[in-house]
Parts: sequence; structure tokens; C-alpha cells
Amino acid sequence: MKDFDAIKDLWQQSKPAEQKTVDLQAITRQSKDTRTKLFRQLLFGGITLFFTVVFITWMMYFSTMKLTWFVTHIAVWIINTTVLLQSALTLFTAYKVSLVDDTLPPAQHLQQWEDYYAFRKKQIQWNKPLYFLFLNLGMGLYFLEVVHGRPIGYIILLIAVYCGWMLYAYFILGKRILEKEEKRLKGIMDELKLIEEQLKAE
Amino acid sequence: MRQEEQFTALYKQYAPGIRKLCLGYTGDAMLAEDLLQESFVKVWKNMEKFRGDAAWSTWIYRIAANTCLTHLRKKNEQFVDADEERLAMIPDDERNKEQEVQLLYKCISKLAETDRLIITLVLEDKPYEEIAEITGITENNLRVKIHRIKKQLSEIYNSYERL
Repeated sequence: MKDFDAIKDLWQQSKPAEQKTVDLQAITRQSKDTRTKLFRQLLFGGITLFFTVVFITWMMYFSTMKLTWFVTHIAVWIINTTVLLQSALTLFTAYKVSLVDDTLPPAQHLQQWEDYYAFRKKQIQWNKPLYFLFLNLGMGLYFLEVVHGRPIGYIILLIAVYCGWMLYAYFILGKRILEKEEKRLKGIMDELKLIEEQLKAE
Repeated sequence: MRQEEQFTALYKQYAPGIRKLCLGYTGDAMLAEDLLQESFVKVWKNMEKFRGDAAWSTWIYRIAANTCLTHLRKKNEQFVDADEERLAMIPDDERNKEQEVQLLYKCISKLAETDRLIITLVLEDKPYEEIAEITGITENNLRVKIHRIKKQLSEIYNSYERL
């Protein structure tokens, strides 16, 4: 029967693994840190959305594409505003991640993550439907000029394909992704709460 | 001293202890190495925030504790037994010791997450005051916890040793 002191002796006699020399650049590059990954992912998403707006604006006003209806301009600005707001929201979320302080005591550190995940959970509930609604409103108006004067068969096919894809994307694919994301966030939050309780308990 | 030189000195001084902390937490050498690196990436990124309110040791161990606690566990992540090939290369008496150490890591990994960190710091002979500072737990609460964890770890270790 080993008592705790014997266990402690055993631990202290254990040889630490061979000390590798430190290569700062390598460890920074290879970082698998959740916060860095999450931040980069959100930053990339936000920037991509911003450049989408730049591209749409260029296409509409500086390319050879000539759409003249007033309603088409409204449509493009609805799309641009929606995507731009989404970009700002994504960058704001990235900023929130960047605020997490790794040097705080564990309970406060865990609380920061819990707050972030609670924010994300709420955000995905209202953000996705609104984004979908405004983006499709813009697209719907945009199509008015695009399909004008085209054969009826072409219009029906275009509407059917577009609506079919959007409904599938929102109600099947999107719903599945949303459920998965909510489950993932809930799992993380439960885990964080569990660890917080462990810290509080005697 | 330049920041990079200071970082290198800190890494040399504290990496062995942090590696053991991570090993105690995960029970897996590869994963422990990842957590060690993540911890030191955070040390590097936050060095300018260090105001000297606590010792470097406390500050670095706290970052490592946070890194371990927020490491997202995959449900199928289990303790990985000692690498047989590596054990085979060690002489018999040392191998027995190595196996005992591996068993100890395995036993620690059976404890609750925060308990693993606390007991690893105790095993490293950190003063209670510093452990309290690292974990943000009051010293009184910490004493109660440590008493309980020591008992629990001894029981787990002995139950495995009997097998």
C-alpha cells in the first residue's frame, strides 16, 4: 500500500522528457490554440464578406454588365448592406475572441469563454434567419431585371432552381448545421460549467 | 534583456515543469507536448502584459492551467498507455520505475480536471500559497481540496497496483 509521500517521491524521480531547444517561430506557427484558430477563422470570414461587397459593387458599376432598372440598384444595395453588416458582425465576433485574456485566474478565464459561447448561441439564432431573409429579398429584386423579356420556360426554370436550392439550403442543410452548431456550443458550455463547479467545490 | 532572450530563458526554466503539468492533466505525451507549446505561445503573446504582480512562475503556470482547462476534450480521448517500444529500450529496473510513473499518470488522469492540475502542482512541491494564486482558489478551500485529492489519488493508485 503506497501512501501519498511515496507517490510524490515517484513523481519527483520521474525523468522529464528530453528538453528540446525552443524555436519560437515554429511553436507560434504550429499553434493549435482554440482562440487563435477561432480568431483567424472569423477574421478570414469577415474579410471575405467585405471583399464580396467590393466585388459586387465593381461588377455593378465598373464592369461591362449593364443593369439599368432602379429596382436593381435597390436590390444590389440591399445585398451589399446585408453582406457588409454580416462582415461587420463577423469581425466584431473576432474582436470579442481577441479580448479573451489567457492570463486571468482560471474561474474568470472560463467565465470569459462561457460568455463568448452564450453570445454565439444567441447570435446564431437571430442572425442566420435575418441574413437569409434580406439576402433573398435582394436577390429576388435583382432577378426582376435579369429575367425580364426572357422566355417563360427560362424564368420558371431559374426560379425553380434558385428557390429549390435556397429552401434546401435553409430548411435542410442550414437547419442541420445550426442544430449541430447549437449542440456543439451547448457541449462546450456544459463542459466549462462543470469545470467551474469543480473550482468552486471543496 | 530582449524579449526573445527572456522568453528563451523562461522556456528553459519552466518548460520541464509545465510539460509534467500537462502530462499529469492529459496522461498523453503527445497531447501534453501540444498543450505545452500552446501555453508558451500564449506566454509569448502576453509577455508585455506581465506587470510583475506575481512571480513569472505563477503567471506561466496560470496560463498553462487555463490552456489545459479550456482544451476541448474529445469524447473518445482516452489515456494512452506507455509506448511499449520505448519501454522495451529501457533497462529492467528503470523500466519498472517508468511503468510505475506511467501508472501514476494514468491514475491522475482519472481525477476531475481541476483536481489533476492541483495535485500535479502539489507533486511538483509548489507552495500552497502559489497553487492558490495559480488556480484562483482560496488557501482554505485549497487545503480541503488537497487533502481530499491526496486520499483519492492514493486509493486509485493502490487499486491499480493490486491488479
